[in-house]
Amino acid sequence: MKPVITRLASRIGLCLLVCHLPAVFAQSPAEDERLLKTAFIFNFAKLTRWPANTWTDQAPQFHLCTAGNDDLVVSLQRLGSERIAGHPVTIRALQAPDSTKGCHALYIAGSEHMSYLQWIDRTRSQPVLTISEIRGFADAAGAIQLYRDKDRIRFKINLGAARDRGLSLSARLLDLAEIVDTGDTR
Amino acid sequence: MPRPQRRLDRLEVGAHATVHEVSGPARTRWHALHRTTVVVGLLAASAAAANSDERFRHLLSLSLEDLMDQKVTISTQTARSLNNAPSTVSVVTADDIKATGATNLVEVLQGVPGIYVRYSQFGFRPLISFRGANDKQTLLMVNGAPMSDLMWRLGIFWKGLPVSAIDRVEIIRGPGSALFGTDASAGVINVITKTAGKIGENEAGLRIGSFDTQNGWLNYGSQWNGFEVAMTADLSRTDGHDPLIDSDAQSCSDLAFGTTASLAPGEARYGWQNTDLRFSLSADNWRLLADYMRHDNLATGMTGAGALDPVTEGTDNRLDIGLLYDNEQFSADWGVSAELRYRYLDYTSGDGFQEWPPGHTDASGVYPSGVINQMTSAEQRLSGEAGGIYHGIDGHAIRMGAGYVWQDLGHVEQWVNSGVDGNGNALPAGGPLVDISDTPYAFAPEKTRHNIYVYLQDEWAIARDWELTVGARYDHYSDLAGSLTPRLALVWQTSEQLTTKLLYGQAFRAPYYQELYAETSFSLPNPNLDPERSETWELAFSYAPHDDLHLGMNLYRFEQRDVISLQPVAGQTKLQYQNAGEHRIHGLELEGWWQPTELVRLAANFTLNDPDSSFYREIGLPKQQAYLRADWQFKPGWNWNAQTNWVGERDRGAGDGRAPVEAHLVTDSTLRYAGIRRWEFALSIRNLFDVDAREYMRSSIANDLPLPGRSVYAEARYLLDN
Repeated sequence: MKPVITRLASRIGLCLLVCHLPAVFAQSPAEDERLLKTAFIFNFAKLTRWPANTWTDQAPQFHLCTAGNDDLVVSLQRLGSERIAGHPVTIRALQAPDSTKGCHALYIAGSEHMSYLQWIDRTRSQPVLTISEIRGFADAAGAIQLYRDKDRIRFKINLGAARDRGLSLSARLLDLAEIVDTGDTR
Repeated sequence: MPRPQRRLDRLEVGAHATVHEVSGPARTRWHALHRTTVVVGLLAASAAAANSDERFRHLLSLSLEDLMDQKVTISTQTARSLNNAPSTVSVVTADDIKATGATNLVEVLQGVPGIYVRYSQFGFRPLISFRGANDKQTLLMVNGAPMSDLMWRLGIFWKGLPVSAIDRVEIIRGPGSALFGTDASAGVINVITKTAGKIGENEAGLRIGSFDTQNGWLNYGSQWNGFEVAMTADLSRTDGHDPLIDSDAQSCSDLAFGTTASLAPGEARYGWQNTDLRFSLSADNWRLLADYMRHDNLATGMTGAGALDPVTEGTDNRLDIGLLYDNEQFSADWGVSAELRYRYLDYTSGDGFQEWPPGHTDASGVYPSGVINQMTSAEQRLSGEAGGIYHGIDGHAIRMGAGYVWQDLGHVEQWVNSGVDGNGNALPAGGPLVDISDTPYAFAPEKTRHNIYVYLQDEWAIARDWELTVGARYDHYSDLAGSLTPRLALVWQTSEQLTTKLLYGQAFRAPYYQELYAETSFSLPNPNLDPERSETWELAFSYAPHDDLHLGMNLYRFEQRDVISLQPVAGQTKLQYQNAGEHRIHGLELEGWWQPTELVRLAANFTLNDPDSSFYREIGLPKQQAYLRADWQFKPGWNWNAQTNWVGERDRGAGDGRAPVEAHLVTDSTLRYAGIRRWEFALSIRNLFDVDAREYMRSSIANDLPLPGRSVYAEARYLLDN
């Protein structure tokens, strides 16, 4: 028997032509919880300050990036017609291992629960506000974690994770959040 | 960039979720079994669109403080729609599978309540049973296409499916013939593969482990000229666990004839090589799927009759091509779907089957080279279906569809050195191999089967919190009596936490060619068989007191009529298939999952089957089974999984004086780490405590079939550039 790797290599043609097309997003049935969480994320962005030289006249867009797939990724598309701190919002869907460069906020979907650390790692030393619903996200150096407490939406903030990336979160935001600060950010 | 699909978050992984990734009409039918987003979604969608925009504008205008005051009234649509589904559904996702370290579909199914996977001595072939019924009452589909062939159920060399290409597995306990036709009597499994648009991350993986197992895979998805494109490849080889067989069917024959031909004690060789390649393309509402599966050097270990066979190394090929169209919003009131599928499969036993070893003796004399039975055959299947769902009547969702299936068995070739030659004359013992291909004495006739069917179903919201589903399907077969299979489901949203369901369904199973036309080493066919029929009543409760706890209980009664069973016939040593009698099974399933903290999750289930003592009950299945699973993300990036499967004792048939097969408890544990850039690693130990677990075998294999002992697998995955 031939070794598996040889067979793998010999039977697979890897030469697929690749070109990037705009993503087509399936319309999802409206759901209150998702709309609410989308509004939360909009507010997180509004209450965060990015480093002074983040935007230029040539690049005035606010890039809200998403990684992976879940219902909230679909719902976040609604923010594409909004403005954050005066900047028109552009939604960008990333696919591993895309660089997070140019993203101002990154929503990491539930589908990434085994690889979210890699996403956080990709934002290292970039001013990117990372947001996710994945459990343990804030403890693992994600900036903001959304969660449900009975019938209300709540959020945790890892202060260190935000500060290390040069982001400044408003005192109002911090007041409403549960703060975790591991001091061990990536 | 792939189109975002609904995915489960961690809360739902491993438990339940909505199901809607089947394509084409099968998708329509699948929805019909557990009316999910289609009904909830489409009916509400247009009216809700305007409302949700308004609602969203309102939410954006609120302060963060006000947002925190907003109440969330439903947990998730996913959970809600699953609870309301007019059938009992479980879903296992790719992430869920990954956590347990399972490498094959059949390992995944072991953890689902009501399912028992029993291994045959022939090729260590996995037979999937639901609720104490035999494995023939299970319908297995891949992307909505039934896997069954005409002769051997899931292919003579069926070995399950590798998990790397699986996106999710959806399981319905209970009948599904009212939508899916034959085989869907006790349960339906639909495997959804990672097709175009569903591969979020391109990945290459390698796994090595016990029994000289090696496995490599690649998942790749992208866009090309406006199409979503996906390709998955999985190649593996293993020597198999090669259990030691103390005594086989030849040992019994040796006792009778005073010979010493048996190869027992000896190892049953179960090594094999697997190739699984899948390609798909999609654009708009269209989807093209092409799957190729191949087994090489597949050692069958033992024969159907139970003699050690170290010679046979089988090969098979299987190609499935499907063109699917699915448009849920074809017009204001209509969703439509259509599909065209083609399948080709072939197989050869190579130098085997060595039905009996050298020195075997029977009434006609001694076989110095053993009894050899070389078989080759091929099958084709062509099918088409069109279906639709109509929303034009308030409170109703009416599904309908019609289809045609053409199946042809051909290229039947056979060489034998026992039995009869091509003219029907008895072959002398010890003679050479004789070609009996293209004669009436070959193992199967080259016959064609046609199947035409129609189905209709109405899902009716009869009152607030009450829904009634009524449907039926009629199947006409060219070589069998027709079958009408109705179903009924009443779902009551008893309270916000509790859903109650009363389910009724009839089902049928069209006999296979093996039962109708083909003689095997242990059975005689019967061309006058009727379809087997069954009827299931079920009462189901689903209770979710809060988000982190879900409990379920199912009570059922499964009754089979016209059971096809091997019966003694005067003047024959082999048994013959006959529509023999009736059989009833009552049962109970309990399941639950609990997430006590953010990072810990527990799941458990218990199954109790109480079959009547009729001759037609399936021997070798446990009456009780339990499963326990724990997942713990003890550090960021780390996941530890442990699962344990308890299988109760299995009693023997009448006249078998052996003690029941002992209960066993098999535990697996998997550690996974995904904290290094682009890399993910796992170490998995199966049967951690090296328990001597055995599968029931007929009395010719006196000490039953040992299952694999402790085995260890190491795995690495790497995320690839696009």
